Amino acid sequence: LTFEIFTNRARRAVLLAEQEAAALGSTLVRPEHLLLGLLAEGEGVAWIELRRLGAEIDVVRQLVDRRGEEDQALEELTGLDANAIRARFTTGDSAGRPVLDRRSRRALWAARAEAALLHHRYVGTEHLLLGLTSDDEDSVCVLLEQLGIDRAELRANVTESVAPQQVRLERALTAFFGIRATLNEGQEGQPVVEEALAVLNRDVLGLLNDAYVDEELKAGELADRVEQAVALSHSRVT
Amino acid sequence: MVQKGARDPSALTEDELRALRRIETDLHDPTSLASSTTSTSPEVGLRAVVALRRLLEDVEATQVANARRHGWSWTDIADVLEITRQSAHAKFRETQGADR
Repeated sequence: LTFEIFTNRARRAVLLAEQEAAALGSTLVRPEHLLLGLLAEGEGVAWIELRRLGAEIDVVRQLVDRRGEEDQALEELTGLDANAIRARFTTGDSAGRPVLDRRSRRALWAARAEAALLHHRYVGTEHLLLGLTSDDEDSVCVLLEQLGIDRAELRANVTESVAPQQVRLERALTAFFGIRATLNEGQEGQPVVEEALAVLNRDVLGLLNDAYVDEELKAGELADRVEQAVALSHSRVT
Repeated sequence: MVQKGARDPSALTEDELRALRRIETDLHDPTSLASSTTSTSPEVGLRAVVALRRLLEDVEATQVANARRHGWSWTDIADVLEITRQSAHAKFRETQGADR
């Protein structure tokens, strides 16, 4: 993995995450700190979409940093002094900086995978946020739950905001498959249906073979064709 | 080709780039955690970690059972443990008997 394909905002979010972890006295940069990094960025798609659903950095920080009450509970139950253990047996890197933990590393890889799914050649804050929430067992998802933010809604908003045409294409294709299934029920072999499907096939496959650079443009045009074909099938058959 | 990155207005400083290179290097060779300040051997250190993990599992099971006896729902327990309700269920159900 290289940060070369990360946007400046995404790169800065990683650095801010490191600072958040250090400020909260953590030896490791956990996925929660990456989320804080995205919020601390103060701009970018991830920040906008998180804010839109009501995530406030101060509230998130409080949820992430429960150490005071946790340490107290530990002492009450066992008499152990967590602070003393931390001071003696945990360190950051050689300069005392926190280090990305396993799940944070995985989230960075997941971010790259999310970018690839959207046919994006860069990794932005939007992909980082998608990477942090790609599995509903992710600790960030637990955090979102505590904030009353719906994971699926957040992800849909993010995707829609950076790849509206691809989202549109997905919906159009769903509509197409829907109508095709309906049409096929008892109307198989009807010339109008066959014709609509043939037109769609030709157009869609033609577009897929064209060497468009911009995936969004391609998705947009495909969505146009699919929507036209669906409308055509509707009007001719009903 | 980093299209969006190129349009990103705010360039990173030299210091920030250096920090990123450090993190990047560490991603590929994650050994940068400095060694403990104590002089214990790795053998002892790692065994102690296993002991802590087992202790954690035992204490966790006991405390979850205790919470159930106090009438806590799986949702209540999952909230405090900061895990999803489903994983709390999956993790403890078989050892704890009846669901709710």
